[in-house]
Amino acid sequence: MIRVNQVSKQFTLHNQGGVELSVLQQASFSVAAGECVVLHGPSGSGKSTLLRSLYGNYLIEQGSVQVRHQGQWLELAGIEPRTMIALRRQTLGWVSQFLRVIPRTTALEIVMQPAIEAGLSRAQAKQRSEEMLARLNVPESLWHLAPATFSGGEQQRVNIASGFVVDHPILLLDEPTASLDEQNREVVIELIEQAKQRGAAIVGIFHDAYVRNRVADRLYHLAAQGANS
Amino acid sequence: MTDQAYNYAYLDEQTKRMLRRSILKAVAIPGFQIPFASREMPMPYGWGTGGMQVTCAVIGKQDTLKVIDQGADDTTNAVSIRKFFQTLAQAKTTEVTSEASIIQTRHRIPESPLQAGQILVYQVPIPEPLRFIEPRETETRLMHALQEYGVMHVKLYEDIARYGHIATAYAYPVKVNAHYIMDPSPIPKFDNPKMHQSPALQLFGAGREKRIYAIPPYTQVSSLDFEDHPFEVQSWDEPCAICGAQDSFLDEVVLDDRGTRQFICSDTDYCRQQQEANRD
Amino acid sequence: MTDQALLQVKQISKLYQPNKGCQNISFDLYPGEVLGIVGESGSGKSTLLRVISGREQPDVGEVLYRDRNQQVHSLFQVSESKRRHLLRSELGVVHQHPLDGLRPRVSAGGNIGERLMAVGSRHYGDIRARASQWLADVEIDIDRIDDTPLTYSGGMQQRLQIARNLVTEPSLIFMDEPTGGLDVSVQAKLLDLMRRLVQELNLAVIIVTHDLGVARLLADRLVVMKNSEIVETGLTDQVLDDPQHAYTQLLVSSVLQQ
Repeated sequence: MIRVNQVSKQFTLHNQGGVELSVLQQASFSVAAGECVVLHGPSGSGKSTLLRSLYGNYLIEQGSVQVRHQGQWLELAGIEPRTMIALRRQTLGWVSQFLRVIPRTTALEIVMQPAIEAGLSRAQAKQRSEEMLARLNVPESLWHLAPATFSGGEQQRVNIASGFVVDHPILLLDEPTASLDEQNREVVIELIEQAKQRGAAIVGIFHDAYVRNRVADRLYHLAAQGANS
Repeated sequence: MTDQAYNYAYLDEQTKRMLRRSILKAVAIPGFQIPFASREMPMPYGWGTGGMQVTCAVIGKQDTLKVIDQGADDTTNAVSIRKFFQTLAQAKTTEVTSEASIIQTRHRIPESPLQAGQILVYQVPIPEPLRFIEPRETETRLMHALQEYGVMHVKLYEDIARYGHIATAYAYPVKVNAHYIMDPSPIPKFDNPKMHQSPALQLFGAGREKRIYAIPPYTQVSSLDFEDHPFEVQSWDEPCAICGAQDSFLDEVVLDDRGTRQFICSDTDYCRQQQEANRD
Repeated sequence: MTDQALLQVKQISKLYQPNKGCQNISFDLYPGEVLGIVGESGSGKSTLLRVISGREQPDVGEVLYRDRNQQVHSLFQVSESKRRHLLRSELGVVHQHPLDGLRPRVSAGGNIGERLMAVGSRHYGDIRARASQWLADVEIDIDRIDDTPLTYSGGMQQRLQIARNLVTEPSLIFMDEPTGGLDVSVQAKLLDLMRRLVQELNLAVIIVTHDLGVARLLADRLVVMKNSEIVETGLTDQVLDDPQHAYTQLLVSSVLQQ
């Protein structure tokens, strides 16, 4: 489902004397359907950068990332923005621990959003979203409130719900279980296992060794990068 | 005042030619406003300088002139203008609609049907129907050219929203020859249907605004409206208190300080004819 | 996903003096896509918007618009009549100052209804019903339908302006700093409304803004302008999270962290 080949990333800080930060060197791996690959390495080894590159959030300047989208391989390096948007709607799911709060939008609406973008009817999207929120133990009294006032954990669970509401063929997980309590951590592990069973390819970052051991089929090791100018 | 002191019909011949060229152009493009070089007339703007210049340009010694103001032949303005042409154009004058070859009017179309060969000259204060909503002349000219007339209905919409019906009662906008929207001057909308397919030539002169426009004989003139709020003319519950006419436009006249009032024909010639007919 | 562009901007230049205005601008916009144009004041954003919305003739270049019948019109080669017709039916412009896009002395209902009447609606009842519906959609109390925009607050005026544009169900709306000059709380409400409408109507939008937060919330894609030229384009979150050009990096790093 995913082929990563020789991907490197460096940031050029134009406004700080053109400093170049190399954050990722020649990453190469692939992920098959139903498989969970966990990016593993010390802080600063480029795990997050790599994951963001897979989502099109970071530009791929060196190397190649190919993703299987609706039966075809798509190259992410140099991809058209609108193709990337379609890819995200249909194929790539992204779950992080940070919720980007949208003013005045209720928790339920936030969760429904990706489902509607993926083409579900409002009714279907609503039903799935409610199930997902319930499963993640978000109290029903909060569903129709905007999450700006929620606790960190509640916001995180709303975000996870929106990440899992669509059965994306590929899931990118950026520490979804960080700072979750044990009960909810179990729910997320279940969700990941279910996704694997339905054939989703998963790439994740998990600092929590317990979760990592539960979900990972393989680890992809990254080494720490030094800055070179 | 001797008649040698002024040229025939007051204006010099070159000015009359200029006016006639504008009138011809106006007739050729029904409802379209033609700019012209309006002259100073021996009376203030707003008293009919535009209509008077048009009359000056078209009147000849064989013509018979009728002048009405709000339908009446005997009001100050009508009397003065009639006198003006008697003196300066040696024009025959009349109060009888059917006898006139030129009728200069302010605010009315005579009740007696006009005939082929007659010319009706309107005095116009504001020729631009779009101005109330679009003050820029550059823009209104473009709107006319491109027939962007949606805004005209906005005015009627506002009427219905505010009063429950189209409350515009005079200067009611019309579409001429299925193209230009035209301000018919402040005639009551009661008179609007008379413009449609009229056998007479209708000329409009706006002196201050320096515009002439025209409706040639037998031209289609339709009043704007909505499908569910069709155009309607005013009607009265009672007939004219003097002649008993039920089909004419009535003015309300207050008779005393106690609020007694009467409705009488605004068209004095028509009222007189009806009275004569009743007598026979 | 439709494969045919709704709007194609080809090598547009419109300069008032060297590097003032916009130059060498090309991009395509697809149905339902929201494009943000960001950059500092004077970078040419608004000039570009005026040109691509057919309101200002470019010095060179072409703007092609694909209408509902899949016919492609070159906005500066079709007749003025056609261009203006498109502008009040399939296209819409939301001005920064709402009163620039509204008739201040005409009631809210009349303001919304005008575009309907301009494209031929002649049934008062229908016009009023649709105006009421749109007022509700932009969250304006129906009791205010006969009040003029002059009696409205700034946020309400802006929502009314949006309703006025959307009543003819356009395919593409041009917005020039629609949230500029509004209180933060009013901005949030407006942004939320715009997001919802864009989604429900599959509306394409080109929005000029200097507020990166607005851009992130609404835009699928960004164009970054500086000194009349495009310096960077890309997916909104990619441009904001991984800016490549020095100017974009400066722009992004200048935003206060929330």
